[in-house]
Amino acid sequence: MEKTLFVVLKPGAELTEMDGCVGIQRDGKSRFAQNEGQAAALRALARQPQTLAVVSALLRARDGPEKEEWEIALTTAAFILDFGDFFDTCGTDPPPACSR
Amino acid sequence: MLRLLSEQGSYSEAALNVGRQQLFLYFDEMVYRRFEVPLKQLLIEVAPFETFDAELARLLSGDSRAGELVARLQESTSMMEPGAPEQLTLRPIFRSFLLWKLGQELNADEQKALFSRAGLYYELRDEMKRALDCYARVGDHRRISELLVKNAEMHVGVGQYLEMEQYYFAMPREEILRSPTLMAGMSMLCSLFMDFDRSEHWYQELQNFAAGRKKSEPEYRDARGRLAYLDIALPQRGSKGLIEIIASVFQVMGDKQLKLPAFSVTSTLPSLMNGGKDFCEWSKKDDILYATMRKPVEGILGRDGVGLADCAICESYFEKGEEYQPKLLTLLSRLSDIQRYGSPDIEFAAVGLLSRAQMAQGQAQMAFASVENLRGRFVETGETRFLPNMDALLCRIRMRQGDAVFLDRWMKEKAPKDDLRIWALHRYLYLTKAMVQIANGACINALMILARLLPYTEKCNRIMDQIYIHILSAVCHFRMGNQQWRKELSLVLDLTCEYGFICPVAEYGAAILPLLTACDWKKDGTHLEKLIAATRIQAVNYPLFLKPEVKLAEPLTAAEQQVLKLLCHNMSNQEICDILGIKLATAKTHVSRILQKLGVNRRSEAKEAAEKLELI
Repeated sequence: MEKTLFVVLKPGAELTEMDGCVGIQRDGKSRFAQNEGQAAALRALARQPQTLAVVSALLRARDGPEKEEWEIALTTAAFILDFGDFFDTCGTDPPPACSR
Repeated sequence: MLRLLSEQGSYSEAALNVGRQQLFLYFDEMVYRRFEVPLKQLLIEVAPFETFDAELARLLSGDSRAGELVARLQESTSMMEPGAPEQLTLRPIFRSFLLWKLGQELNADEQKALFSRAGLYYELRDEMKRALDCYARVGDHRRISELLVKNAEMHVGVGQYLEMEQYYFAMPREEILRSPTLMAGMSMLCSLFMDFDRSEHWYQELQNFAAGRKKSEPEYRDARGRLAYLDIALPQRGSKGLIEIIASVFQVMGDKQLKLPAFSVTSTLPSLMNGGKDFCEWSKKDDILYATMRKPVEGILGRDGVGLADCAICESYFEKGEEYQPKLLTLLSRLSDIQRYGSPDIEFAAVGLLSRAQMAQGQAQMAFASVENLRGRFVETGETRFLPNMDALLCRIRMRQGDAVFLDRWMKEKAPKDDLRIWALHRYLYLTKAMVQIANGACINALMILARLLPYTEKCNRIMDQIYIHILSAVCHFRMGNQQWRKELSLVLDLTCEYGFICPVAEYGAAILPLLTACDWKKDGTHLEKLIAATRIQAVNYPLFLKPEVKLAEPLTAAEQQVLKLLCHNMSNQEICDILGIKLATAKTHVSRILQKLGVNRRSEAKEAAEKLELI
């Protein structure tokens, strides 16, 4: 059975805001959302770990034409790589069970 | 002829010309005139070509019986030299005679026609460099240009850019500026020769070209497609931001019906993480990227995407020393899909990974068989572009088995020769060459190669190659008694710690273990412990890996190096004395010290050892 993947903020990572832009900061480093989808995903992650499916759904643009599957995948992958320094991923259960 | 030469007093050029003339007249009278006319004609027509086969002979002469004539010539005369199977070579002096004869019997137009036909033959055999040489000989610039454009249509893993580079660099600038294909080709070519400024220059020219065209023009779409290709494929672009580039490229392609030229994911290397691009950064989030990207990658890339994600995740787990076996089983279960519906690039990456896993398990012989089987199949199917890297991989496996003969043969026949002008696509070969040099005790030469490769890997942000380069540099410095090894090893440990990699270090086993246990790197004790534990396993599997069979007990002095060179030219002690102006007793002492330092007993063995150590 395929495991459910969770995205969880690293310890010490927290939501930040500057000039109306939502971002995330940790150990003096920060990165800001490029669009509303990323901002929504960051807000959700700051509240609690989220499954990959939820993060992916949040990243979809609220307006505009319906995106194709590959577009959604690339948007999610870009988010993962952009904000990778601020979160971990783990399978099956949310932390503290994450220990890969 | 001898009388004539002796009359001249020395073998001056003039004397040799006379001698040659006499010899040619003898050939003409006693050999050539005795052949039947079709054979004479055929011999003249094949003479300009160093080697030929029956097919070329048929094409050049237009005679369907050319093959029989060649066979008869082979049987009844000694004018042919043995060569590669199916390939024939005329004895050099006889060939010179035939070229002389050709100048007499064929006029300029007939000679041109001959080279044009040969150009076509080489084109059909996909030997583009030879085809271009033929067309250059007859001044057929139009055809040269067409071939260069045709080659530039292909991605660098498939095209013959390196072989044809002199023709690309000789092209008039105006001609390149008229063709988006050539501008893109030049940008990639320059990049692979590590001339990044010129690469960016041609990219900019291509952008200017697109900006000067209307969006409805086909040239605009062509240029945009090639710019998109360069955005993805240019090595200096690295992999940062690649996702966004890919997304925008596909967006643009969807909207404007642009065509993206073919690109290679692996650059014919046995790796995806260290393939066409370095994807180490993606390894940090491998699980989640796999879950996100697997399906779309297969959908978007089609044939090139079959098995790609499975191979990538398995490789990522393997490099991190995690439990990769289930991933490997999944990958192997998809191997027949890859063979049937996918690309040979991914198949090589998958088998390359399998062989590395087998090596890590101490099963070098099985690893060798895995690669060799695939190699055999690729030879049968004509996928020759993979062979150099496959041979290098086989060489690395043999290194673990301590097969010095295999290594020597690879070095002589297959290792890249030019260490100063490095072709980036050959980096796997260069790293293999550096490893063989280390195994042969020639650490300084290995360091020279590594120093040439490092700037490329830094500029292109190739993390995995940087790790390998610093590992090998550290081993060299360590063996040379130079403290620089500590700095090199620290760079390795910083990088592997950041990316969580274990295997890239551990696979150097016995060669790197003494450095790991002696280092004072303290950033992450757990990481170092993991590395040492994994490295010990490989040191047990291959205790002699990269250990020189021959090594210098201590460095040779400058005088001993001079004596060694003369000794290797089979000179006697007296001859050495005469050249160096030293006493016989001194020469004897030097020779004796050299033998002692090389750990050999005889002068003949000294030559062999010196060659291995690349001292001469």
